[in-house]
Amino acid sequence: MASKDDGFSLMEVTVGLAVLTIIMGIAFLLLNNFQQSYQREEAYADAARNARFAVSRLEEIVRSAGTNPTGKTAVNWLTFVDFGGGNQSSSLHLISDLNGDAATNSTISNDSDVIITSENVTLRLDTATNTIVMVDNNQPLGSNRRTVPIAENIRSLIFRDPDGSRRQVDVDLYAVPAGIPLTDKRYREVHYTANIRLRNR
Amino acid sequence: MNHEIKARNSNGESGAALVLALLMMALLLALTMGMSMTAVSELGVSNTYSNQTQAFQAAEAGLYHSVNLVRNYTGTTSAASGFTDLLSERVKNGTFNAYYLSGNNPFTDSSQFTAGCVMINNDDAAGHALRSAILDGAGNQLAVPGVHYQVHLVDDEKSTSGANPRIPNFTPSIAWEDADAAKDTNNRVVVYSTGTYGGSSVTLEGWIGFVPYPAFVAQRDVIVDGNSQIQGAYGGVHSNENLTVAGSADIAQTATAVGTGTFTTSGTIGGFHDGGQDPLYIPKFVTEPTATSSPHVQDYIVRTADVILIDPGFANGATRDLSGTDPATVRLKKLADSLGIPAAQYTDFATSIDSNTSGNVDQSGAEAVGINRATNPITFTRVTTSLSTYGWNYSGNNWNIPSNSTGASGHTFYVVGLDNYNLADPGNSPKNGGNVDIQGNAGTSASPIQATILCTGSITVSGNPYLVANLQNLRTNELPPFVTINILLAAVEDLQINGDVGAGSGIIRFSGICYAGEQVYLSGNGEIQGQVLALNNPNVYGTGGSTASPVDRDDNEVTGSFLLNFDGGRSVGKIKLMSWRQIKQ
Repeated sequence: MASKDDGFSLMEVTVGLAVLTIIMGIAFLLLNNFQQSYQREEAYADAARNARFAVSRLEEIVRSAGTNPTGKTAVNWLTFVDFGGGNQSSSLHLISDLNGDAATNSTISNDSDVIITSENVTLRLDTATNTIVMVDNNQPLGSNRRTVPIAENIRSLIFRDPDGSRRQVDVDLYAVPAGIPLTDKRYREVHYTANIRLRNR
Repeated sequence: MNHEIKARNSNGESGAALVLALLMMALLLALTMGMSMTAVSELGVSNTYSNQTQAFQAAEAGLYHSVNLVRNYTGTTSAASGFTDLLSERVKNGTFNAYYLSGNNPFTDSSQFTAGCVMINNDDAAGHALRSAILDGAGNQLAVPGVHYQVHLVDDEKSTSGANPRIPNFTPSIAWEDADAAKDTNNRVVVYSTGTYGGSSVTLEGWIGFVPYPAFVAQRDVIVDGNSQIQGAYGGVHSNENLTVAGSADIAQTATAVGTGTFTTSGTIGGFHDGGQDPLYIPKFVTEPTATSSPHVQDYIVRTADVILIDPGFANGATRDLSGTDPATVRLKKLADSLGIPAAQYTDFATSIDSNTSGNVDQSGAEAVGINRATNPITFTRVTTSLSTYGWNYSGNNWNIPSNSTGASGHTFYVVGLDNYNLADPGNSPKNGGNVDIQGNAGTSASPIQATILCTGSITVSGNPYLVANLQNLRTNELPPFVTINILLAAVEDLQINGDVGAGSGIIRFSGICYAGEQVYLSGNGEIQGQVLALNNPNVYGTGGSTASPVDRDDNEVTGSFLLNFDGGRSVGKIKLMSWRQIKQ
C-alpha cells in the first residue's frame, strides 16, 4: 500500500510527459499555423488598405486634372493628361491652367487649399521607396524640385486610357504590406484596379 | 492531504488537462481577438472610405444643382449684364463675412461660410439632402439619409484683389475682373459645394461661365481656305460633320469636327484642332422640314419684325378676310398667323397690302407694310409707291438696300415670298421667293445701318454695306434664359457674301449673328464681326440655273480674303461647368 501512495512511477511520469509533449507539439503546430495565417491575413489587409488609400489619393488628383477655370488655354482638350505618347504608361503627366493666365507654368505655395499644387505635375512610382510621388515639373530639375509623396507601399503602377478619348484613366497597381520584405513567408500583395473619370472633359 | 490524493487517484484522473485546456482557450481567444481587431479596423477604414465617397457624391450633386440653377436663372441677368443680378440675389439674406474665403484653409472651417454666400441650403441647417434615384409612391425622389450638400456662390475675384469674398489660389498675371465681389463683368462665377456624410466632408470648386460657340458653326461639312481668316477671342470653327482647313487660312482658336478634320493650311491654327469631337447643338432659328411643314423662320423671331417686305403677287387674289382655300389666301393667312396677327385684324392686314379697298386682294407690285404693335389693335402702314421710305428697292426678283438708302435704320425687316419647298423632294424644289441681294454700299463705318433682315429665301451681299443688328437681346426658346442674342441676318435658305472682290474701296462690315437655314458661302474682302451659323437643311437644287438657291452645294465655305472676327457678346453659346477641382480637406 505504501508503494501505491508513493506518487507516480518513472514509467507513469515518462508516458505522461511523452503524451503531454505530443499534445503540446500538435497544439503549437496548430497555433503556429493559425499565427502564420493570421499574420498573412493581416499583411493582406494592410496591403489592401495601402492599395485603397493609393487609389483614393490618385482619384482626388487625377479627376481634377485639366482644371482650366478661365477657359483661356486649350489644355482641357487633349494635352491635359499625357501618358508619354501612347495610351499606357507607368507615369501620368497632368496639365492644368489653375490661375487662368493662359500658361501652364505656375506653382502654388505650399500651404495651398488645393490638391494639385502645380500646373504641370507628373505622377509616378518611386521604385526605390515603393512610393507614389507627385513631381512638380514647373520647378528646376534637381534635388530641390518639389516631390510630394502621395501613397506608400506600392510595388507597381500602370496608368492606362481604356479608349484613347482622354475621358478616363484606369489605374492598375500592386500594393504591399508595410515592413514585410518580399522574402518573408508572410508577404502578400494586392492587385487593385480602378477607373477614374476625368471631370474636366 | 493523503486522503485527497488518494481520492483523485481512485478516480483514475491525473495530469494537467484543465490547465492545458485553459491555456489552449486563452491562446485561441487571443488569436480570435487579434483577428477581429484587424476586421474592426478594416471596417473603420472601409467606413471612412465609403463616407468619403458619399460626401464626394453629395458635393458633386450640389455642383450640378448649382450649375442648373445658374443656367435656368430667369432674373434680369443676361449676357449683357453678366451674373451681377444673380450675385445680388444671393446676398439678399445676409452680408459678406470679411474672412470668408481668406486664411490658410477656409474650407475646413464651417464658420467661414456666412449666410450671404449660401446659394443652396435647406431650412435644415445641415444643407440640402442628396436625392437618390429611388422614388417614393408619389414619384418624388427620396432623400439619402444623412447626406447633405451646401453650395456657396462667389464672383471670380483674384486672390490679390481687395474684393471680399475672393477666390483663394487664383493669381493670374493678367488683369482679371473688376475687384468688386458684387458685380460680374466677365460672365463667370465660382461655386463651392460641400458635401457631408457621417463626419466626412468634401468640398469641390466649380467655375460656371457662359461660353460662346465658335465664330463659325455648321451642321454639315465646312471648308475654310484661300486667305480667309477667323479671328478673335472665340475665332474658331466647328462642323457637326467634316472640316477642311486648307490654302493659307488662319484660325485664331479651335477648329473641330464631329467627323474628319483635315488640316493642310499653310497658315496657323491657334487652338486645338481635330476631328472626332462632340457635336454642338445648332439652335433652330429656322425650323427643320417635317413631313407636313416646310422650313420657316421661327414665329417668335418673325414677330419682332416691324416692316414686312412682300414679293409682287404674293397675296394677289386672296380673300380679304382670309377665309377660303385658294393658294393665295392660304399663304397670306399663314403669314398673318406667323406674325401673330389676331383673326379680328385679318381684314386690316390684307387691306394694307391691297391696292383696292374691296373685292379680293389686288397686289401686283412689291409691297412694304409697317406693323406697329405698340397700339391696340395693331396698326398697319402701307408703302407701295416708294419702297425707299424704308430704304429698300425691288428689282430683278430681289430686294436691295441701295447705296443712297435712308430710312432702313432702326427696323427689323421680314422679306416674304412664295414658299416653294417640296416636302416630297426637297432637292428638286425651286428656290423660295423673298430673296435679298444687297448690291449697294449703304452705311459707313462710323454710321452703319442698324437693321435686321429675316427672309423666306436667301440673302446675297455683293455690295459693300455696313450693317449692325437691330434685333437685340432676343431671348429664345432654343437657348437658356441667360443667353440673349443679337440677330443681323436670318435666311430660310442660303447666306452668300461675296462683295468687294478686287474693288479695294472699303469692306463690307456686319455685326451680329448671321444665320442660314441651308448653306453659307463667304468670300471676297468682307468682314463680319459676330457669329455665323448654318443649319444645313437639304439644299434646294431646283432644275439648275436660277431655280437653285444661290449656294448650290451641300457644304459651307469661307474663302477669298474674308475676315470673320468674333470676340463674344450677345451670341449663341452655353452656360457650362467650365472647370472643376477638389479642395484639400
